[in-house]
Amino acid sequence: MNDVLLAMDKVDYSYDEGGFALSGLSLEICKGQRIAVLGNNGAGKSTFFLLCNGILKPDKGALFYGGKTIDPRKKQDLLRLRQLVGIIFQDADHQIIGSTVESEVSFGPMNLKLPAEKVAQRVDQALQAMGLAEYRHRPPHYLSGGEKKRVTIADILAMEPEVLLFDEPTAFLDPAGVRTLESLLAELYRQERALLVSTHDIDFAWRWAQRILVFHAGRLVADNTPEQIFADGPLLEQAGLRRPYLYDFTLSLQAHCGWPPDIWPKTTAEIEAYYKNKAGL
Amino acid sequence: MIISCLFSLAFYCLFYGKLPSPLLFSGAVLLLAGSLLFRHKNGHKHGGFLSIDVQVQKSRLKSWHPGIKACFAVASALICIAADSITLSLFVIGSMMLFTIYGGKTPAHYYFALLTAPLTFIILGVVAILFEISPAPLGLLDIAIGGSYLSVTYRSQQAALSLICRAFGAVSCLYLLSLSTPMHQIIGFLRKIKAPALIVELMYLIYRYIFLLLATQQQMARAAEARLGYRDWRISLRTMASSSLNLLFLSFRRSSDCFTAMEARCYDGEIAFLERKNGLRKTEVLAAAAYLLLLLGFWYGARRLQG
Repeated sequence: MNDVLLAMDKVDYSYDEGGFALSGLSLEICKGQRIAVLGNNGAGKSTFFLLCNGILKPDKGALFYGGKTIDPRKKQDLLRLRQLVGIIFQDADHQIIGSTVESEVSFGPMNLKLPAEKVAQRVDQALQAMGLAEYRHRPPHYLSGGEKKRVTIADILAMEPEVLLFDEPTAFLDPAGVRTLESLLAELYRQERALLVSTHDIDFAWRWAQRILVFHAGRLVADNTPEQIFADGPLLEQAGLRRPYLYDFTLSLQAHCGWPPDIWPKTTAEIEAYYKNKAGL
Repeated sequence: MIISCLFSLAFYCLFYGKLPSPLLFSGAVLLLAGSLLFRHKNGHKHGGFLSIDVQVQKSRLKSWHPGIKACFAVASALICIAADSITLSLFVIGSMMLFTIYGGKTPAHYYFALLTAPLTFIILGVVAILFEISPAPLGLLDIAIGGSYLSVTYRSQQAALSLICRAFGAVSCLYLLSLSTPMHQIIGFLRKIKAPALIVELMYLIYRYIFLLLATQQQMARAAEARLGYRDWRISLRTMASSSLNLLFLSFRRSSDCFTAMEARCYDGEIAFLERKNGLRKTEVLAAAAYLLLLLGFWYGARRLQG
């Protein structure tokens, strides 16, 4: 019933002979999913993203998009994959190459060889969606960190991908930037794209994700709902993760304040609403 | 300090015998004092060309069509050089200054501070032309060295004066362009007039990455400074060597990261950006044409008077 977009089957990848960066990776990414990718540094998250977009080519295993096999050695397949799966890189300065916001955002659609009017239209839409319309003629080096992040998202949106991969998007953002980012993610979710966010922010993952992938030492060690993942103590221990604060808090509510065992609140507002309702307010 | 003395010395030699000596002497002293004071007040600022980039963003002439500005500046500079007339050059210098400071609202002190850089080169070059070596004292001002003389003649004064004015005129034309036109517009214009793709792409990349390189260098210098890395000359030298090496390695790594990010957006060996068509505005074309015609008329008139 789910529309599978990107799928991998037993994919292996190593940067050099011997040591595996990723091995035995199998998974499916479906339309409209919100997926958090967790794991400590060097666990293979970035390698996974680069494989999804065809920058790295699997040593072994198969890659599918929309049910069709993708051969990363064929140029046509590769271009299709890169258009449909977009990466927003961690450091915006690595991604931005244009000398104005507008030319920067046009880089992707221009590479798709679209006619100029079409490019202009997509650039306008992407800038509008990211609230960057009045910045269009500014050089990127005069933008703040949060604004640069929005530019890099607009970059990818202008290519109209179905799967968006965010590589640690909150790393260089201040709290206001993180808030903006979360509302942008919510907006993208409404457009039924598949969103993957790699992050070290456990509380964000709990709040936002429907599904969590945990990487450890080059393997996908867990692929489950947040509730299942954070209930698995040995897994958290192994992957060097911790439980979200709200999860711990819910555990104490269950123990002392009669919180039902099958409801896992994602925000404090849900808890407040529950008790107000119970008190008949 | 040395430059200010040179200015004053060059002024003295240039106008020796043309101005009455009390006026000449007080002029030279005033120039020395003035230029020292100006340098003292405006200080020595690093990253000069970065500040140009900031100023350009604020220029009121920014919205003018880049093609018109480029043609206008280059044509004016060419006329100024070809006409070889001091009056015409002075007119160009003055009008370009007015355009930049009043038209573009570039702060005057900033404009003059920026002019000192080419001015220094011009003055240095002129000193070499001003003095001729001759076996006998035949100039207006002669300095005996061994058996021969370093002399300033009327002819060399004229030649130096006209060279200063022409060079300065051409520089002020180019300053009008570079203080009113953002880099990306200039590069876009070069692309439009079919400059080689390699040069245009390189210019885009250099313009983008020079800021990143400088930011990285600044961060490393600060971190070294915080650990007393510049406490004396020997240590400074060592710090500089290792931070340059580090900068090179970082640049390599960064360039591979950037290339990955470009590939992720379907980069295919050719860098292309969207260029919107912006039409020429009639008033801009007319204003530029009127000024150029005025210059040409001036030139023609001056030649008629001479001939």
